Amino acid sequence: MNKKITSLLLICLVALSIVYGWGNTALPSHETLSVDGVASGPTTIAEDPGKNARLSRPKPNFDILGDPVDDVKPH
Amino acid sequence: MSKLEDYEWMLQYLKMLDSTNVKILEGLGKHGPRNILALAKSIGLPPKTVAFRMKKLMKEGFLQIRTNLDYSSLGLMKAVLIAESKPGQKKKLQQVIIDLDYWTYMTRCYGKYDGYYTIFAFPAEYKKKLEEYLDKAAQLKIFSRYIFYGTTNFTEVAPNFDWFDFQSKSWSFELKRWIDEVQNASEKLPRKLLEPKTYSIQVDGTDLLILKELEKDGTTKFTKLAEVVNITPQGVRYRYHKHVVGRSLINDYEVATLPYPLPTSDMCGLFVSFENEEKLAKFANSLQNKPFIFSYGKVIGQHSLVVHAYVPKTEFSKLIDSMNRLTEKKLTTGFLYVTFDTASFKRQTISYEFFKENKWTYNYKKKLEKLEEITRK
Repeated sequence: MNKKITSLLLICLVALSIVYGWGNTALPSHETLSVDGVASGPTTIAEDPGKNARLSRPKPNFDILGDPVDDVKPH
Repeated sequence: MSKLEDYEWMLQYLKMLDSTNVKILEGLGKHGPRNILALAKSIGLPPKTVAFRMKKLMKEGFLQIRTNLDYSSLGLMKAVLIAESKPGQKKKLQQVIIDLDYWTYMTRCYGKYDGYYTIFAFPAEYKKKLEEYLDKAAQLKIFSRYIFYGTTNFTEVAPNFDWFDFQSKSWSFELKRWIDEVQNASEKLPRKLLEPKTYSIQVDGTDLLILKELEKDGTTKFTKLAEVVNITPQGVRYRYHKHVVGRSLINDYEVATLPYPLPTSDMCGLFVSFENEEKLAKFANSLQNKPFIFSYGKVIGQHSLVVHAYVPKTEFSKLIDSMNRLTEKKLTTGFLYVTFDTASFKRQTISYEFFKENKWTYNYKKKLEKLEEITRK
C-alpha cells in the first residue's frame, strides 16, 4: 500500500516539475518585445528597434497599450 | 533575425510565388481580406481555393494584411517631418519627436537630411500647436533644420508582379518604360489624393479600438475584436458594418510583405514637386502598379507628393537617375530624397489612448516643458 502511495507521489512530483518547467520557459522573442512607459502614456516604442528590422512575418497582436506594429513599411 | 535567416525566408518566399498566389496577393491589395467571395470573383478563382491558400500563406508567415484608415474621418491629419540635428544631438532629436506623440512611423534617415523621418496622424485641430512646437525645437537648436508637411492619407500600392519573371524567379526593373508611362498617364487626380474638406470625428472610443486592432491585422475576427474591445461579437459586427464600412473609415489595405530581401534593398522617402495638378496626377497615376512603390500621399495645399519607394540596392541609383530624367523632361519640377535606416524603424497604431470623451486631447503646455527639460540635459 505504502509502495503504491510512494509511486503515486513520485508521479505527481514529476508531473509538477514538468508543469513548473514549462511555466518558466522563456517567452518566444515576439512576446519579449515589451514597451516602454506602457502604463503612463502612449509614447510606446519597441524596446529594441533592431529586433524589428526584419521581413514582415506574421506575429500575434501585441495586446498592450500603444500597440507597436512590427512592419518596416512606412505608414 | 539574422541575415542568413532573411535569405532563407526569401528563398521560401520565392518558391511560394506561383501565379495563383500572386493573383491572391495582388487581389488582396485591391480588395482587402474581409470579403473572400468578392476577392475570389475579382481574380477569377474559386472562393475555397482563395480561402485555403490565404490561410496557408498566413500560417507559413508569408502574408499579413494591415488596414490603412481614412484618418481625416477620425479627425486626424497625416503629416511628415524630416528633421536634422547637429552631430551628437541625435538622441535628443529622437526623444523630442517621440515626446510629440501621435506619430505612427519613425526611422533614422540619411541623405539631404541626416536625422529622423517621421509620419504623424495628428489631431487636425492641433496642427498649429504642433508647428509651434517644431519652431520652438528649432529655436532651442534641437533641430538644425527641418521640413514639415501635412498630407492626405497615404495611398497603398497593391503588390504587383508584372515585372517579375516566374521562370527565373527574378525581377527586371523597367525604369525607362516607367518614364514613358508618366508622360502618357492620365491627368485626372486620383480620388484618394483629394484634400479632405473637413476633419470631423466620425467615431467613438469603441470604434477607435476596433480600428486600431484592424490597423495591426486586417483579418482579425469579430470574436477576437470583441475580446479586445470588451463588447459582444454581435456588437462588433454591427459597428463594423454600420460605422467602419458605412462611414468609409477604411482607405485601403496594406499587404505587408516585401518583394525582395531587406538587407539588399534600399527604402527611401521622396518629396516630388510639380508645376501643376495635372502633372502631379500623371506621376501619381503611373505609380499605381509599380512594385517599387509602397505608398504615396499629396502635400496639403501644394503640387507635391510624398512617395515611399523600395528597390534592390543595385537599382537605387537608376531610380534616382530616372527621377532626374523626369525633371529634365519637365514632368516634375524637382525632388528631394532621404534613405531610411530600416534597422531603426518604429511603427505604432493611432494614439487612441488620447481620445477622451469623443475628443482628441493634447497637453501642449506639458510638451513645451518637457522640450525645455530635454534641451537642458
